[in-house]
Amino acid sequence: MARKKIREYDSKRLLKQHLNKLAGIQIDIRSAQITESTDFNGLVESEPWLATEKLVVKPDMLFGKRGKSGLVGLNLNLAQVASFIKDRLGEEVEIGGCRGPVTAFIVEPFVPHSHEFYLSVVSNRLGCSISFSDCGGIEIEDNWDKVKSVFIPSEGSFTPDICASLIATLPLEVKGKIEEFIKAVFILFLDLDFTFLEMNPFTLVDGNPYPLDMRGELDDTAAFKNFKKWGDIEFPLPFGRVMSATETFIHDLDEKTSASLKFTVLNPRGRIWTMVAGGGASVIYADTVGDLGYAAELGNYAEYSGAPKEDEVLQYARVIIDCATANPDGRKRALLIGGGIANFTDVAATFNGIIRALREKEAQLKAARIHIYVRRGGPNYQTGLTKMRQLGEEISIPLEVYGPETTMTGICKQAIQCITAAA
Amino acid sequence: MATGQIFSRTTQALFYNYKQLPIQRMLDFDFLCGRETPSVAGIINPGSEGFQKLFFGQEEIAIPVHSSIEAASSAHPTADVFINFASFRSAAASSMAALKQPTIRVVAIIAEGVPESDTKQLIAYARANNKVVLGPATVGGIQAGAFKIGDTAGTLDNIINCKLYRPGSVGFVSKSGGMSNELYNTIARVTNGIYEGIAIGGDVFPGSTLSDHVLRFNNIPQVKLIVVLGELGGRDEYSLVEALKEGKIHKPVVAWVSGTCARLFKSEVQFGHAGAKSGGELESAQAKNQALKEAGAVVPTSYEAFETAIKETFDKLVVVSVFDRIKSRDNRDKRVQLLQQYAHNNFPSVKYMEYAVQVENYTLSKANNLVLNVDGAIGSLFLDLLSGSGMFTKPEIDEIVDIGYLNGLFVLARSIGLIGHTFDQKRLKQPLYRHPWEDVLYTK
Repeated sequence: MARKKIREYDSKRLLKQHLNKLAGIQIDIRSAQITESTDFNGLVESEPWLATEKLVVKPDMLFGKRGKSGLVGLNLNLAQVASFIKDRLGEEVEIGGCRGPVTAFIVEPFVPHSHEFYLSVVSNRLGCSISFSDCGGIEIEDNWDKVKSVFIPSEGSFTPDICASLIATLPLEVKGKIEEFIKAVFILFLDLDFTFLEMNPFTLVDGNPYPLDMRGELDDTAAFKNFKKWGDIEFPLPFGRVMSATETFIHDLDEKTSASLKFTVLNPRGRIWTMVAGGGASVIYADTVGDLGYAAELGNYAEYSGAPKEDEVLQYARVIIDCATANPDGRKRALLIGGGIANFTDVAATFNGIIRALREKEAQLKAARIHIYVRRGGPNYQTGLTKMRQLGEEISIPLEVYGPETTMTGICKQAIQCITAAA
Repeated sequence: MATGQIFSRTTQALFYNYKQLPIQRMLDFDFLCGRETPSVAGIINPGSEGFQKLFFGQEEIAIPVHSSIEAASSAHPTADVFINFASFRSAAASSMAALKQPTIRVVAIIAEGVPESDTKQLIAYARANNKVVLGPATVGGIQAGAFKIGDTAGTLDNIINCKLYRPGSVGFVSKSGGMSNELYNTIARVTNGIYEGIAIGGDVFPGSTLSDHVLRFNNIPQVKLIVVLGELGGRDEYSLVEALKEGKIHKPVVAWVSGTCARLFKSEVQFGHAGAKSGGELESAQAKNQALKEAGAVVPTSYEAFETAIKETFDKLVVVSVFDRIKSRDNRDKRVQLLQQYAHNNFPSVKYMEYAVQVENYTLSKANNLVLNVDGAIGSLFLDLLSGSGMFTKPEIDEIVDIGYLNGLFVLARSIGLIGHTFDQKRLKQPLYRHPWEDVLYTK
């Protein structure tokens, strides 16, 4: 299970489509997505309301507090929307300490309203929490004491009694519609494998609930049973995470294989680079370099696991070596080829791909004065480590090899000593 | 959850979705531990029936294959562990079917990528019916010398290296399966080894949590020290913090939460494990380490210092629990005192004993624990008997001493122990003779 945030545009698309299917509730949500590749004229043709209605436009980039950050255009016509977007598309903004360009917008009809309600559903270990308030909107955090929450255990159901406690204070004329709406949203939440859903606010249009703002998170491991229901869904990167060409290459490689291949550059000029087997171990190597005081020298985070094929390891290792050896500056660098003691992964087999890449990149490695530190254990590790040692001698690159007799992160210390030693 | 041990030396499992290697590794482990019965009672391979031939030591055995979970459960009513090697698509359904069998108590789910909503249904059912779910996305777990799940702890040489063929005193639980094997090795290096080790899996909502297993270890008398390896993301570690604060855990806990590097990333980041996602401050490794430390766990400053922290905590335990039984000036051997008292009251002369006591006074000035032991007391008193009884001449006494009669007394005492030891080894089915490994083991 991995929780992935989806765009507001997709949250609303799923809500509109499935609320009708699951509960017969029709919401007249109209929204359009605009990115760099959007053909404006084509869009207006398929969504004619864009040309006739007063509009709202805001970034659709997985971050909140857009109103407070002055990033919402209200009550605009199409031309004004176009210029609003033109001014901001691709421009960097800073939200909560995270900088990144705005690359997607959502445009909707402007809905004048007086009431703002709050609704959220959160998946917990033992069930789901549903929260509701009739004081929603941008001040929700100040009005958090007015939010009522109920818990629905996994084995239980969302009974009218439980729901009644959420909406007890609502006036009679809206109670029925809102109760029906909350119940339907919860059914949709479960049916579509949402893990988080929030409408802040939703309002009433002609007496019917209508979400003005919406956030959603889906469990992407449920894709195999939901791909039809989800339709053309996008799981954008977290805001501020811009992938370099090399990162994109590994990301694409990762998408195509059943194994796991992760690569994030932290500091292109860092002098300690890692290529670590295993989800748990890879984090610990990065931790250790940081905990020993050399976070600033850490070039990357990298993890490979799930028995990638030799060719995949080869492509993966090439990229890491390229990054680690870029722009030699005469100073020593270290590459950590690390890992714990594998349970079942054949160490010699995965090392084959790495060894091929190292051999190919011999000149580069030497130019960047790379020292290689290897530590690994598990099935067939002796063969793997021997091959590594032989490679070191063959291409005469400083290469030290350790097995399970040493601590896993001992080579982090050695790498630090290597790069801090004189000359 | 809570309560204690979930496996034993007689635990048998049903193995869902035939995989030759992990089953063979389980059987090799069984043989290495001297189990009488193989730990896999039956295999379920939907749609097929018959037998699978595997090795139990040198002997080829046939393990029955069943086409359904129900058929396997009724054919093997004593098998109470279900090891599920189904794919992520079908793992949830087959796990639920297994949990519903009255004979099944523990279900281990290996697959990675089981939808969260499905796991939540398994958690709810297991809670209501007092069953244990390990995983999803786990390699499993091991009770040293007793039972292991699938690929846990890898190859035989690793199992021998980490001394997992016999129980130690450490209960270990981690999220990561890969790191669990690493820690079995680390723990074997600095303690007497693992008693039980569990990997709960890297998902956001694992079937059982770190604190579930810590509380269980707390109830297992053989577990003396608890080691926990947590991870950033989620709030699971806080239930451990609560349990520590409430005084529910009476054994020392050494813990480390990995993921301190998350602060190096500019945006939100998803690490290798689904549950390892940087989020709020509370879910950070730093905050969790701090909270665990404040609640009384031993928390090192980095993973690199984890091994030393485990070693130091274990060494302290050993000092407290073993060496204080060794006698010292303030804690004399009661037998020596009684013998000395008896001799004073009844022997005609105690000059040799008094000489021994003078020697003891001298040695005690060197070290607090160099006290006269029971052998020394018996030896000196025998000399007093020989010389004080008036029945032996001096040359006769010298001859008796030279021949080593007194040593005979000590050999006699130890031979009782040796005989007892031999019988005990046989009772525990641990014969003293060990044939070279390569002759008897089928390994791959």
